[in-house]
Amino acid sequence: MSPELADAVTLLTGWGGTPSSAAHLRHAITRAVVEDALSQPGPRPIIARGLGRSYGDAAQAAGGLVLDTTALRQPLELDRERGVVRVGAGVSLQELTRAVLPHGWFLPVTPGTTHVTIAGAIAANVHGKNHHRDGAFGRWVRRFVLATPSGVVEVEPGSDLFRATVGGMGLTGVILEAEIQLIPVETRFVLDREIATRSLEETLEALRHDTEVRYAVAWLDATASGTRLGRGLVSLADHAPRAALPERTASDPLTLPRERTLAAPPFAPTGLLSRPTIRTFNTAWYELGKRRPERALVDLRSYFYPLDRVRRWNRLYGPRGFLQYQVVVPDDATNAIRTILEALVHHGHPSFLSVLKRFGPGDDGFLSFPMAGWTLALDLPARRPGLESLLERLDNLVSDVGGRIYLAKDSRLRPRTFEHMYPELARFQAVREAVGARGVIASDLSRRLHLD
Amino acid sequence: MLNANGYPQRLIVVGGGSEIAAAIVEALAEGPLERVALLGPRHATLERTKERLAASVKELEMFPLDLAETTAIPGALEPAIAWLEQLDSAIVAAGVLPDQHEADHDPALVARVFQINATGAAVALTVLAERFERQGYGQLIVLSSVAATVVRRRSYLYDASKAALDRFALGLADRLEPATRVHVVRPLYVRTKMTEGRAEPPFVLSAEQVARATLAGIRSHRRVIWVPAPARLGVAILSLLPRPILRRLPI
Repeated sequence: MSPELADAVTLLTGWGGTPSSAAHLRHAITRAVVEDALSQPGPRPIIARGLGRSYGDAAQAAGGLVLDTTALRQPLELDRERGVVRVGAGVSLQELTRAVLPHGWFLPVTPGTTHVTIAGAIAANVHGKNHHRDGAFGRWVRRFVLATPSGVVEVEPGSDLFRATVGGMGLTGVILEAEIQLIPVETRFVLDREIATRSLEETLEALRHDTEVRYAVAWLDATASGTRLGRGLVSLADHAPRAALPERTASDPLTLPRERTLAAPPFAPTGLLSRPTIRTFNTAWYELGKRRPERALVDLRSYFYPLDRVRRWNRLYGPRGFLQYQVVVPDDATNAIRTILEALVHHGHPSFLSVLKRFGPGDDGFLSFPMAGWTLALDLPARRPGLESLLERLDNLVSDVGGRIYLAKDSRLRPRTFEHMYPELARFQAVREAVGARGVIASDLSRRLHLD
Repeated sequence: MLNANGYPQRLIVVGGGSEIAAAIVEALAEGPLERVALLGPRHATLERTKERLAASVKELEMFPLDLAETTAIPGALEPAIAWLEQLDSAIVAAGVLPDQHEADHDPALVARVFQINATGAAVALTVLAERFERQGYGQLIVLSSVAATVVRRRSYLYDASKAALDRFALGLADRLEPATRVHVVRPLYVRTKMTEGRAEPPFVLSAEQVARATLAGIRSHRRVIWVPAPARLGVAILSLLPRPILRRLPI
């Protein structure tokens, strides 16, 4: 039997649970599986998939071949002096952290979950709470090995292929391994200062002080309206030095305790996360936050990945799923942030979890999302009446002020708006053409945006 | 492709002259809809739909298709699908409403109604289903009727032909879901050109009401969309009535 026939046809979705499509799913247990798939005839198009944390349709290819790359892992090589690690593409940030933290090294940039692969982090050029200072993940990538339809190549920063692949949503090839620069830490804790703000102005103002710290982010109560609109909890944090630890933990500052997680129930009713419950949660969270002590020593895991404690939390949104709406607008366009928050409250589309952060300057990735300005991320129950046209209007607003939508979260952006938001698209496509990716590598996302 | 909210970019309409189909296309145009292929036997009827949709759809093309000519259907669908390049969604809304009293004595009319409402529609659905199955995603909206679930003396030919289509579509749903979502729409009496000049029942729907209900059904992944929703209960009650009573009811 040919390998194609052995592939199971599987229904795949992103983390948001919508939209879905069926494809042949093949486990890339070796690099040869990837290289063969790209060079030999078989189901098309092909796209790589890691841990499926893209919210939308980036890691699925309807009717084609999806390569599960989570098995691409070779023994991890850590240069303990320089903090450079060579790692297989399928290794998760969680596994990488576990391996390097005991030696005093940590991820240079981390998103809100550790359940993403190294390759996924590069393909989405993920960012973290330290973007204003340290840029996105791509800045810390020393090199990677990429399998393209025209062969396997080693790619270094500055080259066109690097610029197209970092943030390129897997559309240039399949990353096999990468070399990452880590950052030194003394402990597994951060010193967090949390400020409760009463309005959007206060939140923005607090975030403008982010230059003093490594990590800065604001959680917003996106159900608050009127003068309270944009109120939230601003967190300003730094890695805790060893001297800051109480004696009890100071002797063993880098060992992570065993992680306790809880699974979300497999089936949640459609209305579980609806207007009243989301409002109640947000108000309660804000009030609780206000009463917490302002400064605290927080475990890395609790600080960066609170949601990882609940396995498959995305199921709480029920069968209709949800979408994350993440935008960035330039520094002077804070009015757009206000308009978005107001519009969602006004039209009854409350966001369960809302995060606002200031980005530092963007990078040279052709489809890289970050740019200097403000980024707002909102989790919205999907497939609600009126949501489609509302978000379409907001897309246009974001586009008009010179902002953009994050592709790793997207599942509904329209081709023309996308083109306007990503002016280096032509150069991106030229690189894809040059490595023979067009016609071979594509995802539901790239087809929706008419990149193929 | 279909987006997170269930809206297609490219759509084919079998029965492009249908006012209900036009209303559904208008409702879908709230989404990223960019290209629509209208198929039907009469150019003038398609032209009317085209004019109506001109404001909401960017690219619209008409293609000839006569469901009565069963063997020609696959070939007639081909150019439309080729023009679309990408097929995300299909509406099958073709149908004729015969005069039952005429049909009582006209075997040719009986054959023709079944050919269009049931046989031709099933053939078209087979071609579309094949395509959706191969491409791993899709959306199929089939215009059935509450009539497909009850038998009435005054329109049993129409009812029976719709019943065949309805069952066929439900079978397809079993085959295609969940990669392709199938939505069987069962409205009560809808006031359109097709029903013009007929005695109206007390409860009448507009094509736009059916479109709104269809969109709501798409959003919630509903396989059978009753319009209005309580019609489902009504049919359940009717099915409990003894035949001698049921056939005398003015439904």
